[in-house]
Amino acid sequence: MAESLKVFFLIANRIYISDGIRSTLGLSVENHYSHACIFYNKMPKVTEYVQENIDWIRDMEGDVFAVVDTMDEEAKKYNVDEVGLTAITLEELAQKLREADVIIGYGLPRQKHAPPPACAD
Amino acid sequence: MAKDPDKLGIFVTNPQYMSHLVKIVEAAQRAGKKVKVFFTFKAIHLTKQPDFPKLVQMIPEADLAICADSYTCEGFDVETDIPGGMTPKQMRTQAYHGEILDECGKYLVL
Amino acid sequence: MKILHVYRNEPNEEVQKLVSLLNEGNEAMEFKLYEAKEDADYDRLIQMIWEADKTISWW
Repeated sequence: MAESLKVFFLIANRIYISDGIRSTLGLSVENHYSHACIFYNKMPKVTEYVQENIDWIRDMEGDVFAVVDTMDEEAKKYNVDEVGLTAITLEELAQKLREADVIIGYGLPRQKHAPPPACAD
Repeated sequence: MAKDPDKLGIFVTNPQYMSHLVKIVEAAQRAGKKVKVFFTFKAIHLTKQPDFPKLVQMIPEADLAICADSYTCEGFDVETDIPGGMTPKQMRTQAYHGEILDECGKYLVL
Repeated sequence: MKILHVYRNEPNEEVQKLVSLLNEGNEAMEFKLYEAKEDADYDRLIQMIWEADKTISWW
């Protein structure tokens, strides 16, 4: 049996959020302690599929964090109060990352502009 | 399986680094190292680049795969449109990422 | 521990802050992938990856 690793996915780009959570779960089910950390953005629409993935990651002793001091008030409120992501500051996250075995800068960097209606959901 | 200290796992998440990827694989092989590469989400679009079949030829079949679900989610057909040079065995799930972490002594995300 | 930070793009403020907190008490190296061009640059990256205990690649 392979070693269980502490893994953190860092997700800066909005388009990558839902898939980053899926990929985080992919390692939870491989018996790793897998975490997703959402930076900057308000979550896209949380489908039943994404919610199930978040719940499953938590059942497998991982978590999905909102890095709150990188977010504006609206994003913070929505991600934490409505979606139920676990609030964490950049500094608290850094402490967790110091203990991590694997840190994954997932996908593209942050986008400068808000999404147009065509991909805003 | 014990980790191979001479193997670099590459988790490709970004669709714009074909040239970096090929050059990293070449450099690893020049140094006598092995690689194991997994493409996920938007990075599966790299399979449509002209250099992709060349990359496939550089790596043993068991050490290169793409996420079949990502490929489907991006609109391609996993059965009738297998990317250049690849075999159906290389159309995999996120478990392949787990294999990379289990097998590879070194790890890089692109 | 020896940590290698690979920057795929120029690091922003948040990346810089995380990197500096992660580096405390560790030996750190960095590689700017966005400036890599020649084969020799990639040879150096491979050498650094094997020299480091851990590699972190930032967006």
